[in-house]
Amino acid sequence: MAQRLKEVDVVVLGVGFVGSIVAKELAASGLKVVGLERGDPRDTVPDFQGPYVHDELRFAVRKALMQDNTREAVTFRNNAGQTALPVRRWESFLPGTGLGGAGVHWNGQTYRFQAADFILRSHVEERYGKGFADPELTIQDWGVSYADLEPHYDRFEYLLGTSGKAGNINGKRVEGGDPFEAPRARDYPTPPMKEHYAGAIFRKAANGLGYHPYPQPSSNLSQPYTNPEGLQLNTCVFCGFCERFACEHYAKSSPQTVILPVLLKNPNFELRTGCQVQRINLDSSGKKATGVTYIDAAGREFEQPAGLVISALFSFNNVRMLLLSGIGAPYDPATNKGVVGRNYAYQTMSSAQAFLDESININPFMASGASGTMINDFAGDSFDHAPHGFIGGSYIGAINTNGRPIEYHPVPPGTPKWGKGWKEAVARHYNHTVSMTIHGSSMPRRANYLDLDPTYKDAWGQPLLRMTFDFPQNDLKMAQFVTDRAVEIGNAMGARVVAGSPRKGPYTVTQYQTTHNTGGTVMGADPQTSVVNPYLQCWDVPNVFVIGASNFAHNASWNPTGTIGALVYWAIDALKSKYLKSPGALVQA
Amino acid sequence: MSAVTRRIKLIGAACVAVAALSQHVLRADDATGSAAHGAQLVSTCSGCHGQHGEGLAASGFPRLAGQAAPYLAKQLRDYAGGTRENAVMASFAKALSAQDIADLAAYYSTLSAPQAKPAREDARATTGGRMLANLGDARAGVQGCGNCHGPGGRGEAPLLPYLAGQHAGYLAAQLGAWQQGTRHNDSGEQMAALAKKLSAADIAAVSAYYAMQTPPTPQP
Repeated sequence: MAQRLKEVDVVVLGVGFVGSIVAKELAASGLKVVGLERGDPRDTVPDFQGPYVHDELRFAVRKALMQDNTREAVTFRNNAGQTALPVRRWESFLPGTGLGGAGVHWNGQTYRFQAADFILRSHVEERYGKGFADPELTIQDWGVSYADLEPHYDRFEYLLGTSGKAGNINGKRVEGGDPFEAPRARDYPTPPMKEHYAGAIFRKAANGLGYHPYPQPSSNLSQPYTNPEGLQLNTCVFCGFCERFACEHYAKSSPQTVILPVLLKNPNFELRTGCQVQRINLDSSGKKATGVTYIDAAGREFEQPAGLVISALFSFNNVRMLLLSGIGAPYDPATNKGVVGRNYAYQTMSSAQAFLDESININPFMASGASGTMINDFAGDSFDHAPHGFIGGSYIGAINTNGRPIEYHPVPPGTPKWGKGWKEAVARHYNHTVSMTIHGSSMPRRANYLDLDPTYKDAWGQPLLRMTFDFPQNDLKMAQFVTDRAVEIGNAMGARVVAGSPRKGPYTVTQYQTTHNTGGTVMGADPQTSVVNPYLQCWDVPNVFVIGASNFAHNASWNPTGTIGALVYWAIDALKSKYLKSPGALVQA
Repeated sequence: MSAVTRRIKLIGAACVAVAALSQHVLRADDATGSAAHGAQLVSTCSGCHGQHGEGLAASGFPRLAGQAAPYLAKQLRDYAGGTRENAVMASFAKALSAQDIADLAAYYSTLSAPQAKPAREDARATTGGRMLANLGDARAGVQGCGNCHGPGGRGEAPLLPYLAGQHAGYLAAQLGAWQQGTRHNDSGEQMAALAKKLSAADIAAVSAYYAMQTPPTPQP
């Protein structure tokens, strides 16, 4: 029997980037807010300090900062004809856990999407005609425009102190930045990171081919910065232990460095860690949430009543929470009806490696999570897709994040997989290879979706989330095209060998690609094709807001965090200026 | 072109990537110092820094023995250039040629000097100082010194100096200099940012802690 706790104004599920920002804003406006985090509390000091924090085996190989999948996994299959099995080792994607969420172990690559992304279906039909996009793709408009989100992108970047170079300020082209970006109101809060040598070689080659290289926007900072919350960040030291690791230097923007210290000081906020939320509770009408039920680390069950519920979980868990709570109609690919779990998308990751002469030293170990040089010439809406027969694209970049000893050992095709020949090749190429990331969009298709697994359960007895996913032909075609362009850049570097690896199907969960899992609680203006309205409020239960990458109607060519940040502030603005003044549906279905 | 110059150019080419990051300012002349020639130059230095590079605790003159050559050379250049302010050292440094600097740095990097341990345990060092050095201070928002200066403060060559066994008076004075901006020769301003978050008691404690640790032996 659950113990019923005293009612609060707001309960926030998950205290990562989204949860800590929402909680901070709502607590500051005078509401009593409780944050429920399933993982442990942790902070830069003492939890992220050296030498412990640079343990590659523990953090990169054994993935110590990730969700415990002996308690809570995801099941996977490529198509509905298969039986899904639980993912027993995280490989393809790495869901984080613990206070600060994935904001602790991310790389800090902080982008905006292009204006065309938010009106994707309308834009593709207008530019290329109806019928251009493969009919299996369930692309749609997001119900929000880039112009709506611009001030909120800005606010998130200034919270993080993102280091970068604008390419378009209020429509005016700025030399050295990305010419394909949507207009921004002002430059980044801090100047771009120093360019590593791989980036310099890439820049020269890309310039020679007529492309538009620019410095990757980074939330590992180029200089000391005090954010609008009054919190100070330090300069990144290029230690090469960023992705999958926490930052010991207060140099990576994370909830711990940019928002939590302010939130935790507010007496209106209470953080509870080790709390596994089981479901959002609804009243008898099914149209109003009354709070949540959770189980704490000691196994005790509590009911936390609340007037407003914010689901701020990783995309998988936002979807699963709604399915477990009976909020919104589950998507059924057979009938193409229902919405929760629909438009699950990923990221189409390819790569190319340029193996250079031994006289050229890359020093890959001098790296930050986001100090690359890149081009958007073949990303998103930057180029004419008409001759190619696909939509979407990829950025290409020399985005060297590390040269760590266990996992970084680039070798050319044909190298033996082990033994003397392999060791010689690693020694020969370790310091003389430019690794290019080809980071591609992922379009939703009718057959890809998330639902509850009929067989497998978590440690609390609740069904696991089931993923049914394979790459659309559209995305594989796109990956091949952009990888060919990256190989040309490698050749322009003067490489002896360039190995391009375009993404191929079928999708596998046993090879690392990215943790940019999106969709499933999609935002939109039409309740028939979206779970939340343009303000991220549930169509069916107006006192539940769902915020995160699960809102994306498709995944664009860029890393999702910047857009998640924009959506958070966009939703907060609607909460404060509209919902709190007059609680109820902000958009009539 | 002499053999040495050719070698410098080759090394210079190989170090392009390193030099591109000014946080890692290694220069060709770092690699070519002659310890033997350095030994002939040290008479001026040893008056304060000791016959074996052991420094002088009472006057706050640092140990140089076994400190990495690139770090020592950079400090001399920075004294001359003004990013590390010290009237006495600036006048010496300005008088040295690039080759002299490289040779002196090479010489001191090879020395091993006995440690002048404080006469008795400093209570501050064993409590707050140890914590600050190895774990940092969450409330102040300061990371542990060992993240950059190595476990136990043994240094991270080539550019991050060892702190273990360094004189407390010198360490405290340097933290003060970072705070006040009279020393600003790290390109990322990390030291200034964290020194400004330390109280006088923090500085005394962490300096006392490192003074009690055993300095590293010179690396070959």
